[in-house]
Amino acid sequence: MRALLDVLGSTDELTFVSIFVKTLVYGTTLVAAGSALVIVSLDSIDTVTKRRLRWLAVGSAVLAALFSVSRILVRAAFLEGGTWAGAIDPVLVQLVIDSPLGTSVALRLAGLLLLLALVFSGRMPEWIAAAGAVVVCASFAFRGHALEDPRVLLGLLVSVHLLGLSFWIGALWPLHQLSVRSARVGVVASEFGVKAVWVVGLLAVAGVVAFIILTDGTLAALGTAYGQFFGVKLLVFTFVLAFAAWNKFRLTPMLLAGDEQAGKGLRRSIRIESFLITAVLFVTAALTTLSSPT
Amino acid sequence: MKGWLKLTSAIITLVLVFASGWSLAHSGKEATEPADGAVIDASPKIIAMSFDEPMRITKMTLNDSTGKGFDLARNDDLKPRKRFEAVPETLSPGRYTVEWRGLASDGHAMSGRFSFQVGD
Repeated sequence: MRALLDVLGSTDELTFVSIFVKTLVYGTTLVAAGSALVIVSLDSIDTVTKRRLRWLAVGSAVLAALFSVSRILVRAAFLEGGTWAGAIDPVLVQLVIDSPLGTSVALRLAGLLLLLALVFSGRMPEWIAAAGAVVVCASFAFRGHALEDPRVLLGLLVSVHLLGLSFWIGALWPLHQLSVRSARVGVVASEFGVKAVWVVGLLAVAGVVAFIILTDGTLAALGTAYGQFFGVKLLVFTFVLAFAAWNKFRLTPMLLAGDEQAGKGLRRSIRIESFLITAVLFVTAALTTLSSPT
Repeated sequence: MKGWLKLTSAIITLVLVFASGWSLAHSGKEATEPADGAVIDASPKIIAMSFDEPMRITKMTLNDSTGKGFDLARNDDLKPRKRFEAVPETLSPGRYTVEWRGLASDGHAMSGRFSFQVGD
């Protein structure tokens, strides 16, 4: 408790705002991108759910754009010494726009714009939005530690990691919705379960390889703050995996068999998964702000 | 609901405890002049910081123990530098703290502080 109070005392208000905004950027961007990926990749989703998912993607993309631009202003305020005057200082704002964060946000905005194609129905807008999802996930590779050598490999790993995570996140809301009102939930959960095995595997491998590269693959990294942060993230992620496995191996067969209790169980499991994934995003936002692999 | 609150508190606490003392982890600051904690006989002619990578210092303040601020003259034009220098006004005996903010070449926002004492 004392350590917590020490940290709360030494971390300024703007750093908390920065971590909060970063978490919102991660969350809204991944929901937008993931919804688009789910629309193009899960064939068993019905048209009503697909239409709702399109609007969820569009709404999340608009919010992601607003939060991403806010990050530039919050960064400028931080650079001014933690006062909001920096957010309206044209010199500092331009400095941030010219930095890798500015490049990353510009690329993300371009990707989010492509995601807005989902205001139209049809296969072509869906594929344009999917391309947007790839661009927004890749945008996170244009800043921070992903810029270290080997840059191309790290960029690819970060992009694959985020694409996998967004697909996973994107499937949570439609599965939750379908479990309330559709007998098809078992079919959709089954299709998601088959595809998610590969996606989650890639996500995990990309994350671990990126960590090994960034920390030079030494066990000593586990003694560093960044390594311990990775441990916390891995621990929470393991819990998420446990719930995902429960959904796939226990609940999905029950749903396919028409068990009514399974729908309730799936909704509870998805709510817990969503909470834990939010925790992973918060941990990532806090510790990429406060720590470094080197 | 109570269980969710407990779990949320536990995760936030864990993150913040791990984060304790990490705020300088990104800075890559190698040395300062005067050194952190140094006791010097006379007012320093310059206040300097060295970094392992070029750093754009966006804000630097110098305060005494009462919180009174002192002017620092700088001519870096907000350009990234491995060694940053600023000239303080003449300081009377007492304890001083330098606080700074900066933008690293990889885009990370950095911050830090160090203290020194003029006179015994």
